[in-house]
Amino acid sequence: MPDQAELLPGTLDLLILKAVSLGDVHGYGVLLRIEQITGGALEIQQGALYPALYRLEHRGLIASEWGRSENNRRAKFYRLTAAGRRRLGEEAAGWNRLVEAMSRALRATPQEI
Amino acid sequence: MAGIPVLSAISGALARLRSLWRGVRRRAQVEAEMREEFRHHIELRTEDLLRTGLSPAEARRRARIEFGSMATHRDAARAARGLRAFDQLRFSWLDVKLGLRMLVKHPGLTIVGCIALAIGIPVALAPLQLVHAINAPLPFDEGERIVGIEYWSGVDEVRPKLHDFERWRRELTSFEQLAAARPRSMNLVGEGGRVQVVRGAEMTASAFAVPRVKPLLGRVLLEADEARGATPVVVIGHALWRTYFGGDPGVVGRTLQLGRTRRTIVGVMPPGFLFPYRAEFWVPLQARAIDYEFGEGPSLWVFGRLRDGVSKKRAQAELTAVGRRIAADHPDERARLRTDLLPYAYAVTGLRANFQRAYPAYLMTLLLLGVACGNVGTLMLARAAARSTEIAVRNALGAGRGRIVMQFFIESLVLACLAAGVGLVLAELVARRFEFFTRSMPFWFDLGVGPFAVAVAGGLAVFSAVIAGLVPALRLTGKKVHHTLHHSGVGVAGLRFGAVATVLIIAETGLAVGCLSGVGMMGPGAFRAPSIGEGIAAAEYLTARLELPVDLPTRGAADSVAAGFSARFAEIQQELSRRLAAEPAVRAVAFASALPGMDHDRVRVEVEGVDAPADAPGGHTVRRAHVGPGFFSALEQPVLMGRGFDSRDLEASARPVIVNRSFVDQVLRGGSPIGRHIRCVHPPDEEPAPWHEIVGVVNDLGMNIVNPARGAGVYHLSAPGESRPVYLLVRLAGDPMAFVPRLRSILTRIDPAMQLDDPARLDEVFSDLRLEARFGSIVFMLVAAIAILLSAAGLYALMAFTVTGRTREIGIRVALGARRSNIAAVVARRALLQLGAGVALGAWLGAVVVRDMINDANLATYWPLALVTVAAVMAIIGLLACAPPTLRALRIQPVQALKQD
Repeated sequence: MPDQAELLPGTLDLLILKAVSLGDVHGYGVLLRIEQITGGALEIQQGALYPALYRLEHRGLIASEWGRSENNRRAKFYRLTAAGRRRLGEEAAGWNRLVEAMSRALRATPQEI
Repeated sequence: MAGIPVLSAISGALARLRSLWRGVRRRAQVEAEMREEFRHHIELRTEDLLRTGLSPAEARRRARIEFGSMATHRDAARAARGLRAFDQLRFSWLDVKLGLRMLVKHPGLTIVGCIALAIGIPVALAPLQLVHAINAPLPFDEGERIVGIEYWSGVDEVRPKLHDFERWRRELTSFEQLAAARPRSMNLVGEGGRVQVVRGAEMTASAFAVPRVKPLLGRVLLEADEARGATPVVVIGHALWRTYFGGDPGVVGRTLQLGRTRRTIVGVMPPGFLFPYRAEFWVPLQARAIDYEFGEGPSLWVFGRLRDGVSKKRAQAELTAVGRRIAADHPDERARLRTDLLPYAYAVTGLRANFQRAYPAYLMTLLLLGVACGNVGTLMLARAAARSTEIAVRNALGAGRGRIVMQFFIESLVLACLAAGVGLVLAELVARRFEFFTRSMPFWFDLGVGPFAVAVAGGLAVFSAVIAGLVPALRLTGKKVHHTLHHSGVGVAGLRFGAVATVLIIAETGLAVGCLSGVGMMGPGAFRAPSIGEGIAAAEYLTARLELPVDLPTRGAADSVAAGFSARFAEIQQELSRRLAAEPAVRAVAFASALPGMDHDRVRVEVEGVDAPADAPGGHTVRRAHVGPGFFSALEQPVLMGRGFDSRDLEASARPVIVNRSFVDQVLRGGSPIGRHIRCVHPPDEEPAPWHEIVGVVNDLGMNIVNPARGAGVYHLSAPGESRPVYLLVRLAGDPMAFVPRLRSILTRIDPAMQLDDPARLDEVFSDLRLEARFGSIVFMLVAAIAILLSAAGLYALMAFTVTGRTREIGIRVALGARRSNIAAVVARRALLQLGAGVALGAWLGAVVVRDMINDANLATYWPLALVTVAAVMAIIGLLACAPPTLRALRIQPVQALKQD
């Protein structure tokens, strides 16, 4: 197992939105896609996945539709709604600002003060 | 861009509402989908694990373990959707089952609660039902446009007269049709003198255009029928057509004798048509305003159909304007009156003034229900308090507050629904007992137990359950629940018997004492069964009321018409006496303005040489009847002192009177009556009444059927034709009712217009009237009984609650050597304080309110005695209610108390 990072609180929703934005996907697929795009650095608790999905659906950020999965079974596929896309943009921008600020802070040297 | 956040907030809110709606409405589908999604997830995971080389069984196992508990995910998912609150408040049959089990397990509470609500709910329902009936549109085409017009003086309805009606008809444009009617009952004279009294109406022809109902046969009345001298015609109702003419299809053109007039039948109305009130026949209203002075003539019901598109508001505005013009022309008669557009029912029932007066009483009924509910709630709270540990444990195990509150609410709802059901059955029984009352209501009123009654009773049951179940549950599950768990050993110590409960107990004790003293105030006689009089064989007497419809007096002829009418009445009465005397079955005949066992008129009299009572300076209140000379002998009543009436007394300028025994005892205080003079007390601005000499004394003959102990009364002598209507009393050999047809035929042969109403045996009249007259005291007693029951139950609950809550404390006190009396005092102190406060309140209520309500100075004599008795009784009942819990407290052993932990 590679080194795994703790998932910061509040970032699961962002990750799910990102994962769904890359193409319609079912619940298990979301899990796999997050593992894939984080290079396996972040593992999502399976128990946390569905409440998060339903919460996002409840808020209208993602929408679901029943379709056929790769093994040809009925599966529920999630896609990003317009509101979800907007939210993803805002959250991503916010996250980038935070990361930039954090890394700048961590790069700081005594001379800069 | 500023619009974007707002838009997204709105779309977010919409999405949430949509999802919530779906989650609540299509719960089963949502859950099935969730399960399917989870299963799919586990399958895919299993396949992935298989690829890593695990055995199928192991892969499945690992996938399941990794996924975790499906139930937990499902709950978390529902919580994420905001559905938790709904899940808890969801109606569950389990709660109903629990509620039913509680009913059986605590029969005391079930019975007390059920009685309180089963009486409270119908009492609150009745006025609503009446209001509903009055405001309901008539069951005709566009019935909501049919309205009534009436004058209103501010306190009373004033019926319009012909002048008002004709002017309205000329000047008002808001109405498609405007009509006038007045009720008439007439003798329907059949073959061989067979007579029945039928109710009908005298109407303008336009009155048929108001309901827009087509006749079944023939035609309705026409305007030409209203002309004086037109051929007398009649339209008959369906029931009359079926029963009287056997449904003859050729009835139109046949004739029918109503009173003295033979009328040609021109039409038959369809079944159920009893418009305008409860009519079975319709004759034209032939009166014209021109024949009368303004404000004279018959009183009318005026009603009409609003023109299409005219609002009630606009019609009222027009009516007000016309009303002002009428008032300007006739200021004396009309200036103080307002012209009102009203629901049709008001115009024909005269209920408006009653409603206005009774309005506070209706509020009281709701208040009574509220108090009853509050008390049932107190009992529920006491019962629930014993379960507070259970509640705390369940709460700790994850039952939310909503879930527990819902359970309590459903428990009380089960009780309230049971009570509502019992209440409706009771209401139906009462309605059947008072059937004569429903039969006198307008034809379209539905006061029975129908859909409306059931719906409202259901609503009242929910209202009761909210007060009785929800409020205690909210208090019980408040923030102290966890605290309770810590102290589960002391049970309910964390909970207090609230101020509301205290107030309720005091209020009920007060109500009970107040009402009972109100009943008691009427004196000991109120509880003594009244009687018609000693030695009267009531079952042998036939009674009936004789009434002659008055001819309408026309302009200037009022006096002569009245005199002619009196003379005619006297003639008929004398002729009837003569012919009855000739009948072999008849043993005696008499006439009177009231018969023994009827509630006689009240009158104030002063007696020569006897001062007016100190508490009633206006004179002594006594009962009065006007009787014919043969009255006492027909009843076989001896004259106890002095002499009876004889026919020469009729010629005297001031006729003598006879008094009864109670008059001698109560008014004359045992003094000698014979030869003394009495007279009625008239208002100071009127001429004083003449003095009458007392010539005899008779037994008490049922003049006051509410309270025979105050039956002092005086009999005036009256000649035939002087009292109208008059009661006929006939003593018969054999069944009195079997003589009725014969009596009718005799009467018809004398004058077909003379009506014989309500024939009945004397003892039956008495029992019916007594029930009616005693209705008020029955209601008082009923309210008092409920209040006693509730306050006793409330005191009991309080005591039981206290003892349970303080078991440990009492145990310790006993261990420390407290005496039994100390313990009883500790336990009962609060209950006794409340009882005392309640009795004091009741005394005040009785003294101020009830005494004012009854407002008869003579009544007050018994009052202090009644109050003391009632207060003592109430105190005893209260103490009895306190006794079992107190005894339980005294039996508490220290060890037992400590074992509770």
